[in-house]
Amino acid sequence: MEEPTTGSQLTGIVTLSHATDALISSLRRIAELMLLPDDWDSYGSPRIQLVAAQRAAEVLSAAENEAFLTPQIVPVSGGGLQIEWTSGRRELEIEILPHGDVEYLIAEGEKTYEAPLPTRDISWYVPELVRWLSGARAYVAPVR
Amino acid sequence: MRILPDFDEPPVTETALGVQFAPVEGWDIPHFGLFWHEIRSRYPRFEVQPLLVSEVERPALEFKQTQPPSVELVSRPPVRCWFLNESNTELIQVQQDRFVHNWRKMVGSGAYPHYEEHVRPAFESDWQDFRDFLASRDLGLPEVRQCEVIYVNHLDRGKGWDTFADLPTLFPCWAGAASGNFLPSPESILFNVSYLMPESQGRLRIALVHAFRPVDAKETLQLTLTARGRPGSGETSDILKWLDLGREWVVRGFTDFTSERMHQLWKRKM
Repeated sequence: MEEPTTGSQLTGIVTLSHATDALISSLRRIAELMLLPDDWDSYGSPRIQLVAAQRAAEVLSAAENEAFLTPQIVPVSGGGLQIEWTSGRRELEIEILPHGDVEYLIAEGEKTYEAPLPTRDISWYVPELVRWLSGARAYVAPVR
Repeated sequence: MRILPDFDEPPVTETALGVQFAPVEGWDIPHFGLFWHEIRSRYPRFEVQPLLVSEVERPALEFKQTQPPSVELVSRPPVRCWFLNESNTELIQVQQDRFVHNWRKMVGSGAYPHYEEHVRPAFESDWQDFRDFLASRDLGLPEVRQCEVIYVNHLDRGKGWDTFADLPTLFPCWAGAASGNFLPSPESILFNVSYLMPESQGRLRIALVHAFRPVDAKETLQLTLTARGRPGSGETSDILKWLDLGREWVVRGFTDFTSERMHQLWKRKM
């Protein structure tokens, strides 16, 4: 990241001008899901919460340099989002809870592992998870 | 003051009026707190941020070689402080060689408060407080090197454009034409343009970047106009005079750079 030189740029943005097609289409998908109304699932779920969308953008940006596949992004009852990647026998799901907390699940065949993902660790741990998914890593270390 | 183009619903999301000066001799960490004490009734919150790097405009463009990383041996507090108002819509940024007053749009906040009515007077009042503080602590008056005016505009997708094939209808300079028919419509865009202001008054830079704004999950085109130049002197009257000039370049530049169709969307008044 370049050092700041101007006194502006206070509103955080994710720059898309050099972004991968996967990131652009994923962020557009989030923007679409933000248009879902309350009760979108007909079970009384509130609309997708803004903090969940912000966190999802953070996760996708962290994954960008490693992600070789466009993920599926689906709404979750309660106002959260789930980001899902599949590659061969490996699956990675990152769930953003409505209040912004993050959990992940990795699966390979019948074996699964799930754990919370502290938000402070998103920028280093999400790329690790995606590298595991792509086969660049044989295993993934548990989160610190 | 000259009549400038004006809009009822401009797409501006941030403004910054700033002054760069020679590092204030003797400025140190405790001064951030002492200055905050003076302005805390208006700016009750603070955040510590990394330093802004100095970038002074020269009359002619310079072609610089990339420099290897270097260690700066100048002793100065490596921090900048933000002092924010209660609603986070206005803030002052202070570091040893920089003073900036910002307004920014927040989700649910009011419309842009306009330059003459609020932005300029707020800068003037806060800058005077800063000068008074420096004088009261025997730190001298700032040796001003440059002023800057920055307006950040967000042109959200769905409000005047849907795909990058629509770009020629936003920006007259972008014809969208090609010599042949090989290239499809662009999927994204990034460009920078600079314009010299006459009589070595400074430079206007225009930057367009395709972006996603997480705060409300919107895709947008961020159009940033930055005018920088050296005022006649470090006196407040000369600084304000330059800021007025810089703002005029920003407003006229924005109006020239964008299309009449978009002006209608932003409800241009004059």
